[in-house]
Amino acid sequence: MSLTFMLPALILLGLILFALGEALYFLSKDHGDKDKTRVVQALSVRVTLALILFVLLILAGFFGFIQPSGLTP
Amino acid sequence: MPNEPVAYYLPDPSPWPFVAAVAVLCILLGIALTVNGLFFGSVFLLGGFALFSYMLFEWFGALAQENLTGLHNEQVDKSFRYGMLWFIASEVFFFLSFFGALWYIRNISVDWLGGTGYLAATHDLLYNQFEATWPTAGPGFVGEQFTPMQAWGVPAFNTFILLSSGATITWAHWGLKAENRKLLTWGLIATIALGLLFVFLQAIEYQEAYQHMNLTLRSGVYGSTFYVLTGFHGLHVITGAIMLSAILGRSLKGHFTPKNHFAFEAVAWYWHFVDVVWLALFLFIYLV
Repeated sequence: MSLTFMLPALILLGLILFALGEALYFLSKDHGDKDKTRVVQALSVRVTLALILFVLLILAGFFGFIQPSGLTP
Repeated sequence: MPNEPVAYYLPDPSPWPFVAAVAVLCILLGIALTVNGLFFGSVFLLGGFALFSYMLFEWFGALAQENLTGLHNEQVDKSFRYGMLWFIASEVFFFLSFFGALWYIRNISVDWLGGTGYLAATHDLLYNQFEATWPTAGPGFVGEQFTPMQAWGVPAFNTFILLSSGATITWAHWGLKAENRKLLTWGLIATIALGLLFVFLQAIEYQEAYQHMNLTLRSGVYGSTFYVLTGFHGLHVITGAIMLSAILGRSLKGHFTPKNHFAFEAVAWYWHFVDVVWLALFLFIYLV
């Protein structure tokens, strides 16, 4: 895969992991009578970023930036 | 004078940990007997799974009942959250070790066999015909000729399926927060259905790989890493679907409120985690 697509893909993956980690942190903090929506908000961000990454990867395949690799001995 | 310390709730003696151990013993015994072609293998295997399912149903039910009767005080609630953190930490390191193995093989050990890096002499002394590329069938096609798995087709569609399930569980989550029971229920049903569809398509992919591509667990290091990573991920999807089914049952009974729904949130988070692991798999196993 070319660097043009690999770099944004890795950055997006990093942001997805950050949003997921943030949701886990809020999951451990928000409880009892605190009616907070921080967990679901962080998870919504996670889903949106994942969909953007998927579209980016599909585009990379469509425009030929991802080449199938052959098998060698 | 400070408040009295909150007493920790200790559950009554429970048979379920013991039943779980017996069920796991039956499953492992069943696998060992089945692999060796002995008749009673399938009996132990099916019996073990049946007992395990029954144990999960009863144990989950007992926990839900404790929660409904108000036995879970703030300290117990906190312990569940910390327990979840430790469980997730173990899951993260479980997958990290396999991703790490894949990275090490692709970037270090295959290069040594190809004649570059610290142990480049391996190439000159043992495998001087070997060319360092990925995927590889090993020196002299030791893993036999096979066709590597392509990203487009079933794997890309499966990625879309799992990402969609991430969206449906988020709808269900928002539905729970907004006390929209319909959105909660249908969001959960859609998530479970998409998860099962993913597993079904994965099974078809494996069948295709074994029957038409000669890509098996014996296909050298590529086959091993492919099946270990995708197989364990599939196992996690199945586990997640079972957990979501329990949550769906509890949602239908009205167990969760916008302020009290840790079980839902923990399972939803687990599903998102499994989703992200697949995204990384799609990127590093199928595409790059």
